[in-house]
Amino acid sequence: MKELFQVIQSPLITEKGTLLAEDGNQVLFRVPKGANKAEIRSAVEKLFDVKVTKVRTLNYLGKTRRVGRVVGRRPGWKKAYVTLAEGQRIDFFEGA
Amino acid sequence: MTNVEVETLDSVRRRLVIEIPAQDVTREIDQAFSSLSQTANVRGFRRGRVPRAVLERVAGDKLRAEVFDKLVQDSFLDALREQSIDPVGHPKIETESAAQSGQPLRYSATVEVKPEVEVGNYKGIAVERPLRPVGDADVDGYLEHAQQSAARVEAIEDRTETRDGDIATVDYEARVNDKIIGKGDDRLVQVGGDEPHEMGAHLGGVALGAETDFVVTYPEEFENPDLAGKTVHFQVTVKAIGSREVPPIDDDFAKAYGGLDTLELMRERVREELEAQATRSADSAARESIVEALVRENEFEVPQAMVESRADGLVSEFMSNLGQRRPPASQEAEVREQLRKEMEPRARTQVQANLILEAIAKLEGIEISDEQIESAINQHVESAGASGERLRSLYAEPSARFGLRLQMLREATLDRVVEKANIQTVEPTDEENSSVAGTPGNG
Repeated sequence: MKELFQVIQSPLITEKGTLLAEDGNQVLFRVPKGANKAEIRSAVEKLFDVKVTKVRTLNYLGKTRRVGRVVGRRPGWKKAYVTLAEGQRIDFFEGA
Repeated sequence: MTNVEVETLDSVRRRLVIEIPAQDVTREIDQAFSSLSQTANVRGFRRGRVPRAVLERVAGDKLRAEVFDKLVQDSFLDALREQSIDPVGHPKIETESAAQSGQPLRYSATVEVKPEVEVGNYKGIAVERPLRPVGDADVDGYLEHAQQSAARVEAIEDRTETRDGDIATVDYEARVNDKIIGKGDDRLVQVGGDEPHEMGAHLGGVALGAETDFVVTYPEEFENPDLAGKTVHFQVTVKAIGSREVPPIDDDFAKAYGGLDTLELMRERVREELEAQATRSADSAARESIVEALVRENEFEVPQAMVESRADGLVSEFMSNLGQRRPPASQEAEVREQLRKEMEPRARTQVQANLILEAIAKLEGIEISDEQIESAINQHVESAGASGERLRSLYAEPSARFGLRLQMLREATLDRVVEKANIQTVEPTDEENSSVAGTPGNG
């Protein structure tokens, strides 16, 4: 079993993410490329003490970067859409 | 509605406790957030689309501090107007909490105010006006002084050797250990004297055109540090000798230096001038004594802020008068601080005097009209000459006009007080006051 914070790298706080949180009770995380849905589900459930109903993931390809003639690529990353059970909430801005 | 309570701490300090209602605080905070969201650049969001919760996290504390400042500034100024308090200096603001949505904001501001000055008796103040009579000796002294400054060097042609009292024209070189440290051509030197460090003392009996040399050993404590403790070898050539001739004081002198026909006329003119001088200094001494008496008779507390700003003014004045002798920039702050301390008592007296005069102006109903100010500015501009136009643009500022008006008001008030004072003209007994041109008066 991986450490929890090895699975959940950071929450993604974006315009789309806040919209999804309001409409569909989904939260977005940045996760390592190697993490699978089961790991993500259990990590979120343990970390935030919530019930997860669905995890969807997608891989992002790193952007190309060119230094002179050399073309390289930034590392890719994985994004996870975590749907929470009804009535559950994760508030990243607690106290605000 | 903003709630204001005023406490009087002492004669020059007021404490305002101001409470801003919750809905005003909330409205202000909401406004600040919505205007920030239009401009804030937050990663992950397009501009203008940042949710309030995110903004709260990113900039909430700063924003609330800004809202606090704004609320305080607005409500404080309103409160001052409402309570007709005219503060001097900066307020001291104290609060228990920052601005929070849905909560009233309560803070206190302590300000210094101009004290209510109750002027006691300012009519018939008894002062002495020390007028020094101008006697013949003063006129003589003045003329002698003028005579000395009109002296000329006349070439001596019937002698080829210098004598004590002559004025010699010399070229010289000064060396220390064969290194030239000073050199000069056509210098005028008075021959003679007992001072061995002066060149003149070594030039007695030197033939015209001849070169003479001598050695001067300067003592360790000599005032010029370049020469102190050194043995200097001088080589001097006397090129011409002359004598210092002072013109006799007669009608010709009056014509040449006074532009007047006769000596008698010149003496008269000098006497008038000296008398005018004596009158001016007597008047200003009397005015000063009156101001001193006013300050002495009317004790009251003065706001520290006024004293400090006056002391700052005095220091700045002093510094700008120093000109070349200004301390280096690195030490300026230190010197200023010290001067400020030294000048504080004087500043306090001046502030007191000003407040008293303003109070008297109110009692007497003295006012300065716009025309008076205009004509005073014109006078200033004219007397300033080339820089006059710059001065005029300075006076376009309302604050400069206000300052001028206040100054004129004080002057006019002092004039009134002087009119009503019981002034007794006396002859000064003080030695210092009794000499104009270096000759003791006959008073």
